[in-house]
Amino acid sequence: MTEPLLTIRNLSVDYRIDTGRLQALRQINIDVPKGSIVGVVGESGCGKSTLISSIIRLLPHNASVSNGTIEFEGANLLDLSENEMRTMRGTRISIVFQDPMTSLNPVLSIEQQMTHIQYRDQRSTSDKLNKSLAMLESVGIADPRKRITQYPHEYSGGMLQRISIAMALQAQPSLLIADEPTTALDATLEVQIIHLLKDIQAEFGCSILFISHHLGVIAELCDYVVVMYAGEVVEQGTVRDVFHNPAHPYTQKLLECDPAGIQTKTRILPVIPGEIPDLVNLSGGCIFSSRCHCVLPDCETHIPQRREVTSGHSANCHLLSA
Amino acid sequence: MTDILQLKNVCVRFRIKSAMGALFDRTSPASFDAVRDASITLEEGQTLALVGESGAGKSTLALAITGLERIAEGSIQFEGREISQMQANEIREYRRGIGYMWQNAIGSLSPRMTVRSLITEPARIHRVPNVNTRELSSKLLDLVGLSEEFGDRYPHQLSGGQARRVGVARALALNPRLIVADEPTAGLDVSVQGEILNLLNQLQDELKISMLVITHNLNVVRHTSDKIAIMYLGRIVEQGDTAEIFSRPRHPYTLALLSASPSPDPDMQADRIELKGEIPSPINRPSGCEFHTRCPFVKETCSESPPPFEAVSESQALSCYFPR
Repeated sequence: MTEPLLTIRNLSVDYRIDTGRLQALRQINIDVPKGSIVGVVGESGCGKSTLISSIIRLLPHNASVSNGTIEFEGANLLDLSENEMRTMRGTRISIVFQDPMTSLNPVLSIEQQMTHIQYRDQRSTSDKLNKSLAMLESVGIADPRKRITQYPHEYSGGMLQRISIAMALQAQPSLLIADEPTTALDATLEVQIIHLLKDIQAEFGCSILFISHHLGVIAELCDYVVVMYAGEVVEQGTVRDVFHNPAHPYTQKLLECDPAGIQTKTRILPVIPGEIPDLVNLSGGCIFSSRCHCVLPDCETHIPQRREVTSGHSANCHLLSA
Repeated sequence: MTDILQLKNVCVRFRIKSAMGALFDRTSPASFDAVRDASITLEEGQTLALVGESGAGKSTLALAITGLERIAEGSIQFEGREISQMQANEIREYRRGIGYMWQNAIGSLSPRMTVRSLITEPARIHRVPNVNTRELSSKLLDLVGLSEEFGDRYPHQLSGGQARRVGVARALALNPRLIVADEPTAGLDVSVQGEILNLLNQLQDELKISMLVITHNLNVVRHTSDKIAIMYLGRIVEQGDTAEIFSRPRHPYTLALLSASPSPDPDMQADRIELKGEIPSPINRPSGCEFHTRCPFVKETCSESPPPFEAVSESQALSCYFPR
C-alpha cells in the first residue's frame, strides 16, 4: 500500500433520536491510499452516507462524532474550524452526489454554475469559462461551447452526471467522493460513467472514495473495497482478495445474493434472512450474529476484533480466531 | 397453451402540439410514438419480461395494456377480448383482471391510509359486494409474507422491501389473472431483491397468475421470466425464450444490455460492448434501423431502411440486418 491520503481511525458517529442514541457508525477504520480507488459497499442503512457526511462535515444537527480521527493530508479534519473546512470542501475534497437531477440548480445555466463554483480563483471570467469548457470536454460532452449555455432540464441524466463530475474536478481535488453516482442511471450509461471515472482518475491522479451498493460496479472500478454492515466495517482488502476469498459471512452472503453472479437458472434466489438490527439498543455481540449462518457461542457475547486474513485483507469475525 | 394477452402492432401516440399549433407550424411533428409497432404475446401462467433503458416505452406499453393509455393503432387482446373497443364500464370490469404493481412502491401508497385499508381499497373502488375487510386483508398479508401487525402500520413505517410487498398485496386484492409489475426491484438491496423475486415466483406457482415484468436489469428477469422482449425506442427489437436470449443473444442491443451489467468478479474483464451516447429522442427517430446511431457493428445499409422483425428460430425473433 502506498502513502495514505485519508486515514480514518476508530470513527464513531451517533444520532440523537427520540428513542435514544442511534449508533450509526462504530469504530470505523478505513485507509484511502494516494491515487487509488476505494469502494465502500453495503446495503441501505449500513452507514455509507453517514460516513461521507462525517468526512466532509455535512452531518445533520442531531448527529455528533463521539470518537475517532479523520486524517487527511496530515491534518485531522475533525479539528479544523468551520472556515478551514469550507476551504477544504471543493478544493481538496469534492463530492459527486447520487442524483444529478437534484444536485444541479434548475434555474441557472450550466455556464453560470460552472463559473460560480470557481469563486475562489482570482482569474478573469473568460479564463473560468475556458476552464469549464475544457472540463466539459474531458468528461465527454460534445460541442461544449454551445451546450454550456443550456440549463439542466435540457440535458439527460447521464450528461448531467458527467457535468457533476466535471464540476467536482474543477479545482483538482486530491480526493473525490462519489456517492452512488450511477444508481440513478441506466445500465448502459452506468458503464460509461464507470469508464469515465477510471479515465479521470488516471488523468488527474486523484483518489476516489466510491460508495455503492452494486457489487459488480465495485469489482470493475475499485482497487480496494470496504464492506460495511449496520454501522461497522466487517471486511476490507483489495478487490481481488475480498471478492475471490470473502472471509466474513456477510460478504459471502452478499456475493451469493447478487443475481449477476448466478449463472444457472433458478426459481428460488438466495436471500439474507432477517433484518438489520436496531442500532439504538445494541446487543453486546457481533452485529451480524442475528442473521449469520455460522454463529459461534462467542458471537452473541463478544464484539469481534479486526483480524488479518492475509496481508492487507482483514475481517471482523470470530471465525477467524476459532 | 392459450394466450392470455396478445398485442399486435400497437402504437401509443402522444400529441406534443395543440391542434392550432399543428396547423400553423408544420416544420416539426405534432405527435410522436412512444410505442411503435409492438407485438407481444403472453401465454397463460407464464412470465414475460419487457426489458429496455429509460425512454424505451416499457411503462407506456404497460399502461396501454391496462387501458390507462389509449392506443393509436394495433390491437390488444386480453383473454380473447379486444380492449381498444371497450366501453367505459367494460374497461372497469376488465381492469379487475389485471393487478398493477407501481414502480415507486412507497410513493404509490397514500401516506394517510393504513396498510389494511390500502390493500383492501381495490375492493372498495370496484364495489365488490360482501367483502369482509378484515378477512381479505389478513389473507392478502399472509399471501405476501407480512405478519398481521403490518395491517395497522402507515407507509412511512415500512422499509422498501415491505412497501413492495404491500404493492404486491394490492395487486392481488381482486384475484387478477395477470399481474403487471413495473420495475419490481428498482432501488432495493440485493438481498431484498431476491426476496421480492422469490415472492413473485412463489405466487405465480401457487395462484397460476400470468406476469408481465418490466425492468431495465436483465439479471432480474433471468431467473423469473419464461420469455423476454427487448425494447428500444418504442419498438421490440428482439424477443425469445429467456434461456435462448441469454445463451445466444443475436441483436447488438441485447448484447450491449447483457454486457452492461458488471459481474462481481474483478478478474472477469468481459469483452464489453459499450454503447456510445444515449437513447435518441422518439420525436426525431433515426432513419433505417433506429439503433444504428449507437450500434457498434453498424454498416451502410443500416441507415437506409428499417430491418424487418423476423424469426430466426422457432422461439426467437429480432429486427437486425446483421444478427450476431
